[in-house]
Amino acid sequence: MKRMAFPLLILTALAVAQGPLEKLKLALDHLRGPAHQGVYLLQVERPGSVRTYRLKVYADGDRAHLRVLEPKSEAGQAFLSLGEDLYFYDPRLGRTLRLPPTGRGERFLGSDLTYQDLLGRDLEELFQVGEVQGVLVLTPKPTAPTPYGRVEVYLKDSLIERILYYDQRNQAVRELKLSAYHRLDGAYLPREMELRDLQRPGYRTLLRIAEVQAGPVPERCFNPLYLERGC
Amino acid sequence: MLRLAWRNLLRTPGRSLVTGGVVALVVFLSLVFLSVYAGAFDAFYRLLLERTGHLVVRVEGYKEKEDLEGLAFFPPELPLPAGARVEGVMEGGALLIAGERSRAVVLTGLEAEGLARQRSLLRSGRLPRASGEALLGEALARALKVGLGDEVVAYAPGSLGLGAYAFRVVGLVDLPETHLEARTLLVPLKDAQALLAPGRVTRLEIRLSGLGLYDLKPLEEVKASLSPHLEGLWVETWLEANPIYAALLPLYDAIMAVYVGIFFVLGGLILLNALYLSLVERVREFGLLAALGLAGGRVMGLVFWESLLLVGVAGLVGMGLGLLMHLELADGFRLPLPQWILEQYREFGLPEVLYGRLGVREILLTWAYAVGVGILAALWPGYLASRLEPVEAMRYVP
Amino acid sequence: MSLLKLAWRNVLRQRRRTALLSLVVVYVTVAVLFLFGFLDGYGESLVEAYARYVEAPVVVAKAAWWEDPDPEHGLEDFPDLTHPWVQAQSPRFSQYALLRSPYRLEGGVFLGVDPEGEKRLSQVPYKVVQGRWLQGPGEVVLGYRLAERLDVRVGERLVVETGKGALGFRVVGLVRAGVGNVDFTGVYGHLEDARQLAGRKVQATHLAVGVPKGKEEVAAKALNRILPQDLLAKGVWDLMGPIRADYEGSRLFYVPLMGLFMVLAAIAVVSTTYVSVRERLREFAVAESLGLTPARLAGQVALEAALTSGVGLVAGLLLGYALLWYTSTHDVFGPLMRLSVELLPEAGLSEHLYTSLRPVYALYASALVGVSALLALLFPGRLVLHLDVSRYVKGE
Repeated sequence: MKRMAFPLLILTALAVAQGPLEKLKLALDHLRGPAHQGVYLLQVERPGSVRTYRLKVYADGDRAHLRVLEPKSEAGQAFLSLGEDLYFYDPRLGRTLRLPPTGRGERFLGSDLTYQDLLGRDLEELFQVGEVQGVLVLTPKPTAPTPYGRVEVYLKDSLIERILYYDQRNQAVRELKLSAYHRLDGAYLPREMELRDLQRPGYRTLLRIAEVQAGPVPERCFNPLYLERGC
Repeated sequence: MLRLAWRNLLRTPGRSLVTGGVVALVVFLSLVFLSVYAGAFDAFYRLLLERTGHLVVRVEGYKEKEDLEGLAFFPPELPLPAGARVEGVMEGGALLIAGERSRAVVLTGLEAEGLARQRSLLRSGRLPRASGEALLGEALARALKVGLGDEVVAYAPGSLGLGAYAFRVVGLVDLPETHLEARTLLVPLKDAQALLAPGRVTRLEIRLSGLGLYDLKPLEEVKASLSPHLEGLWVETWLEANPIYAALLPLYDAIMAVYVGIFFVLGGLILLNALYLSLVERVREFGLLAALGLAGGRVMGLVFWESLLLVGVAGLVGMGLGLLMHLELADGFRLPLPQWILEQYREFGLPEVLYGRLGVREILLTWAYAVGVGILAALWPGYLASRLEPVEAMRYVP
Repeated sequence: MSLLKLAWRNVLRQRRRTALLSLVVVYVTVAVLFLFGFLDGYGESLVEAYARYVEAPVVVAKAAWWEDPDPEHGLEDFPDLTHPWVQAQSPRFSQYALLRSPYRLEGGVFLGVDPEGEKRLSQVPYKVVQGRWLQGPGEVVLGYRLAERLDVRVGERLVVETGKGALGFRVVGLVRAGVGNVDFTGVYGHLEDARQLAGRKVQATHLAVGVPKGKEEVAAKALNRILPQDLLAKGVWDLMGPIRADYEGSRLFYVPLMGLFMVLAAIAVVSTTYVSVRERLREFAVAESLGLTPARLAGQVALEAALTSGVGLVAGLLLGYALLWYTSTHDVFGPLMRLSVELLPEAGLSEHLYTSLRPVYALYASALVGVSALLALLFPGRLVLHLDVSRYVKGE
């Protein structure tokens, strides 16, 4: 997949001329950002408790390698997404496992974010894109394996500001808010990601970028064999 | 009156013996039937009790909750009576992966005692002793094409713990129900907790000692004493936790009464016949008795006494034999059916060896039927006897 | 006067006696009829459930698949099944899958079928209570209890995943078959989708074959003779699960019990006959002195016993068949069966049980008459055989 680096003005101009699918593709490109490594903070809020993880991340827009640095009890866990395949390593398990396709819809580290939210491009693959008054309205393709009935993507200057997930009974069930887009090496990366479970009050997950460094990522980082020891 | 009745019975020893034999047989069969059925019924319920425990503590409103977060809780300290044991169980759905194949299973983490209880179901291998060891249902192992020593990975989405865990198959269990067996993975509690929800359980099973199978009152008492300590949790008896089985229990008595009734109706009709024949054979005597002043009511009474005496003696014999048989059954028996059928019955939770049970209630039921039948069968012949015209009766020629 | 008429007249002479005795015979006859009707009805409901809902009258698959029902052992091509008894055939593809609705996740068996082919073999397509049956790929039909458990409605999407892939299906219909397995666990989709999910080159896992009712076992045997070595055909009785044991066990248990009932009734008949003969020993003595052989007299006794029980038999047959007719058209056991289905949803039980109504039961019940006659020969008959004619004729 090609990623193009455009200044903001040209971007906006082009956005007007693009169809909904192109808009979505572009927006998703911006979501994933350029090739970079960094430290992310994942904060999982529940009624009465908050868990915070510190993650080391290596990503190149299509693939991503995440490692848990803190808390100490969970440190050493690592995840690798290579498009279709999802691998993970846990020191307590002592080995690397490949998760079945069913895995992508599951929660990442027990938070409200799924692997799909973080790493996948399901929105583009599984949905048909239409546009209604500037909002991208996604409906599932006929045999798409997704539980959602409708997804609304709110853009601001071709950057995704908000994604609202609806179930098949027209009820909004999840809300993803992205903010603080950071210009990085000609591309964009949201520094803050907030996911709220609309069906359960008090359930919220925040993902913030603490440090980031653009630049090519060594190829070995995207090799499952390196999940255990890191790269 | 009694002596007269007795003598009359003895005068046709053949028929009295045959009729008495039929009554005795009916009583005997009823007792054996009741004992056998109670044995089977108890076996089902005992299995249920063994699996469930006497009392179960779960999250309030657990029936509506689906996700692990809602169902798992930190086990509180509970004040239990002496001799009671409490075990924590962590159970959740997981995907079990072995090479190319995978199956959705119910992963159950048990404490050492819980695992030890699986010993009788163990078909090969041994019980898990250390972390990372697991028991698989035989059918599950077949479906996944794994055997002892092989590795399986349990992947539990939506968990609060690790989310995935590898186990080595150290033992295979044979559960009665194959479809349950194909979904069963038993592991040490700590592993299940690490995988699903550290420190928590999805239920607490409380087992009391020295209780009979249907002793529910002590359970209610313990329930009451535990309630104040259970915040956000519910405690249920094993029957409340299995409502369909609870619904069956009262039905059982009704069904047994009908079954035994069917036997006794036959016995009663045969008795009726015998009493009538006896009357027919002695019409002249009855006529004489009537002429001598025995009132209609007393003649009727004579017939009743004959009936009750016959039923009484035969009933005693039948009961004696029945109780003897029951003593044999109580020691353990197998239904007299081909082996392949017994094995299949295990699928429904019926073990091959059953133990007969006969309580006071069942014996009273049988006696009640016997006496009832004795009285009812005598009604018509008694009525006829009381209405005999002495002169005509004395001159009766068949 | 023929023996028969004589015997009949004697029977009629003692109306009350015969009537009372008939109560016993009627009771036992009705019991025998009802029991056989019930047992056969049970058997028929199992056959119907497995042949028309859960499986098929005959199923052909690789021998390896019977041992290990995985698509790994599926059929790459279909065997030639030309045989006069084969009425219909349709390929099926069953595989284990995860069923994921937006709200729940469960394991189950996804059955890929040919929607039109199924209509000729199975009753399931006709039991859709909401929505409709399958028409093409991308659709799925669920048992209504499964749909409740998964919390998914007609028109919504269900995701089906196997280790090889995942597909979203639109739920187009819900079935309510009244058979536990279908209602509680049934998932029906198109054959094409099943193939895609399995990600293998197999065309199907097994073939459902329709054969005339009652011919399932012989048809399977016949097919096994013409099928290649690695394929095996099984008739419906071999496809049933453990419930078959309950059926066979019930027969083994209750039929002897009915035999006992009949013997007891025969004893009652003979008892009455005995009294009747005793009362008329003088008549018999006279008859013998007039030239009738003891054997013929004994025969008459037996005939009387047969007729006495015969009266009750006829009444019992009328009553019994009337009862059976009622229970074969009205679902008297409905509530009991529904409870059983709740308890054992995967056993192949149906929500209804209708008794059978077969003429052969009359034959079974009439054994009573035979036994009565036989016993009558042995006991009261003996009285007549060893008659000391002179004693009676003298008027003692």
